[in-house]
Amino acid sequence: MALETNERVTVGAVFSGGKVRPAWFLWRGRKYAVGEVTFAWESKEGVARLQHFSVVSGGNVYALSYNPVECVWDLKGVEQDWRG
Amino acid sequence: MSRVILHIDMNAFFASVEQVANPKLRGKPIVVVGASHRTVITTASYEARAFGVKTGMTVPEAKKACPHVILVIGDNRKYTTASTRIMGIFGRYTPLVEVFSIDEAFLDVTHSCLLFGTGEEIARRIKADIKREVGLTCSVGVAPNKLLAKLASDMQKPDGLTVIPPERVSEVMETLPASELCGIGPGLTASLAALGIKTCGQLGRFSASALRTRFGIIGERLRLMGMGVDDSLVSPSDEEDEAKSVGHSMTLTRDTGDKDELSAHLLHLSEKVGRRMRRNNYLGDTVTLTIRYADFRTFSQSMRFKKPINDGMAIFLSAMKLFTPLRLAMKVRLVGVSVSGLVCDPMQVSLFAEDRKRAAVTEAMDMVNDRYGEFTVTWGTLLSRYNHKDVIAPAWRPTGVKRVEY
Repeated sequence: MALETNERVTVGAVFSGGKVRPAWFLWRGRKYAVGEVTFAWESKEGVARLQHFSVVSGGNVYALSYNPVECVWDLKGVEQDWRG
Repeated sequence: MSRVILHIDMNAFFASVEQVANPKLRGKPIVVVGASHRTVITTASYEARAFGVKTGMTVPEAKKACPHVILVIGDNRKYTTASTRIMGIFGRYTPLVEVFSIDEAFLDVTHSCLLFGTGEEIARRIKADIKREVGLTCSVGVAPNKLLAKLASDMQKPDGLTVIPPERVSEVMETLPASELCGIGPGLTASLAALGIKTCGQLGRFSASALRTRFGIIGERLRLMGMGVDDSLVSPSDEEDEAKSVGHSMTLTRDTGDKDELSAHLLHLSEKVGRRMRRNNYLGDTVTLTIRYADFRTFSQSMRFKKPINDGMAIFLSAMKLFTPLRLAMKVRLVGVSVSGLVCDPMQVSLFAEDRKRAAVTEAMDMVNDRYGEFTVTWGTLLSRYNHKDVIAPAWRPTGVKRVEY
């Protein structure tokens, strides 16, 4: 990941059919529209089953994480590629 | 009635998941590596494989083969989620699913054909479901048994579908090199070649008694393999034998001979083993310590105890009884702790106050860690170890005691 971060962000999301899908997020004063959710995965943190989303916005890739117990979203990383 | 068995093998699984998650990686040579600086290549994308990059290579070796290769640090949570979803898709077509590894499974669809069509049609539907729902490709082999299904899935990669119908088995086996069969490695291939056996056809026609004389009990089995015969059943994960042991190991970020540092790792591993045992209601009476030296020499020592245990500190103290007297021959690369001799925890209340206190403390710690996450409450010496990245064990399964959360 080019930039690993762990910042609380505001996210607009669609909850439908028992699933959640991020539609946009506010990060550092700017609004980013989610063009595509490329992959979703889960992890467990105590009782919370965190839902992670890899999303594309404006040509960049962002990793968003939703904690359904605390109802909060975090931005975990930006641009998940780099050359070693 | 001939059986219809599918073997499904995900293509370059970890690398493909990363390419699905990040469109910028698609079509590029990438390798998935561990977080440690001295990690090896876990999986290479097909684009990287075209340059000769292979699983097990070191990073410098991979860069030498493909200077512009992109390194991606693996995220086990993505792979276990994808695997669980894929195994769920298999379950729509048959309850007889044997999870062979995180990215491979056998399906017995013999009795599903009435509902979903031929084996080939079921394979096409599963491939389409996986592509649509998870975004990944796989190679599928369809055949009358597991041996041939696995063979068939290896014949077309990536994104292949190969059918070996019962009437074509002899023809396929006749010229097929024996080394292509699952279970016949380089050593066995050389031993067979010394007998003049190079193809499966030759193996199937070879004298059974001569094979028994040379290879013992597996001689007859080898002959049947050469004929393409395999009666082994597809064993669903929930029908697998009870777990025989629960263990964790870790490759250290750097080799060390420091016994204090190593004992901290052992405590961490013991805690993880204990947590998984308690979560699945197991107790065990044998603790095994595994050490791998920097030169990859590996040895294990076990100790059996009168009383079965499952709390991390008791496991650690048992492991330390094995570790403390050891005189390390050189620096250590990997340490492991496992507990075997498993029995189901009868939840008996101990007669001794000391034991009851310890059980109460462990239960309280489990409750906090269940609620707030692993190692939220732990031993002071482990606080700095919380962020250690685990490697997916080959034995990982989507359910049961073999499921490990990452």
